[in-house]
Amino acid sequence: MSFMSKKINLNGRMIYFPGVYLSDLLTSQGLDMDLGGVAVVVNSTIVSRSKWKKIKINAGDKIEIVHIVRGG
Amino acid sequence: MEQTTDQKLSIAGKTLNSRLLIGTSLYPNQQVMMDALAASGAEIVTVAVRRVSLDGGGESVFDLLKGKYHFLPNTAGCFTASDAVFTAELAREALETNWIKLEVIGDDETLFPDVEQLLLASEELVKKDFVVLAYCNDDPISCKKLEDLGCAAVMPLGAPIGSGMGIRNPYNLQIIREQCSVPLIVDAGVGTASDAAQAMEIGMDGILLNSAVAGARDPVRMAKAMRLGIESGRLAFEAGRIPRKLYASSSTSLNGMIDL
Repeated sequence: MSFMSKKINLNGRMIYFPGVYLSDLLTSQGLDMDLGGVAVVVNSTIVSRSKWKKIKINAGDKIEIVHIVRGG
Repeated sequence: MEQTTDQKLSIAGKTLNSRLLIGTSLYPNQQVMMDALAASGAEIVTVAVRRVSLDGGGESVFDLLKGKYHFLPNTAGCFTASDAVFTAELAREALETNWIKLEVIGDDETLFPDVEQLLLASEELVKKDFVVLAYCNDDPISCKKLEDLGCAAVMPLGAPIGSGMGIRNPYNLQIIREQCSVPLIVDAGVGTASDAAQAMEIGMDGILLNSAVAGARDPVRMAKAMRLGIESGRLAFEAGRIPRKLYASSSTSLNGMIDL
């Protein structure tokens, strides 16, 4: 945990995130920014792809990263 | 794929070459799924929206299927209108499609729709410019209400999801067919090719299925059987069946019989 890390809730798990932007968080999770079939929710609001590099992550944020899976 | 029937299914202005919509769940492995999807002739595949695993691994269904099939995301697992609407919005963001297979489930055991919540969700999604394909009961009243709300397709169940019980109430489907002009797709319950054919003979416009193919001993062959069953049933519907009669009527003329 770095000094500047923020405690956030990511997909139901508490993690420490040292970065600034939502895009940094995605990268830190090994998600390619060009990855299709992905959507992100920050504090119950869907954040469109075009804003991923602009949205700053704050301590206490609740973030969901979802993707397309098999379904019926 | 060669289309043998005369008329094509069109949903929200999109003309489809196949009347089969197929799910992507429950196949024994990825290769079998890809082969089964290809054998089915379907152009539209259903998918779901779920959390990314933070522990890595897992396949990218998007990369696997993009460009080959049109995605129809579902709202499976949603029990309220608000959850379903939010899931639809997530799917639209993830897939850049406004098509949604709307499921609002009322009960874990039967997976029957919660009609009240389904109608609320349909109304809201139509307002938000979604193309709504609504999974619903085989109830003519709720099907008609969904049509009136502006759903692009109404999808009555043949039997409970995954049950393979076939068309439990063909007479209701017949009434629904007579009362609705929107595309009707039997979603859920189909167990084998004759079930699909039966639904098509009633005049349904298409079939959405998953378990019957994915769970078959040979999913690829069953996918082909479903394709043929649907084409066959559709052809029979377009051709028009003969009326049922209680007594026989000879098909061979008695004229010119020799004296025996």
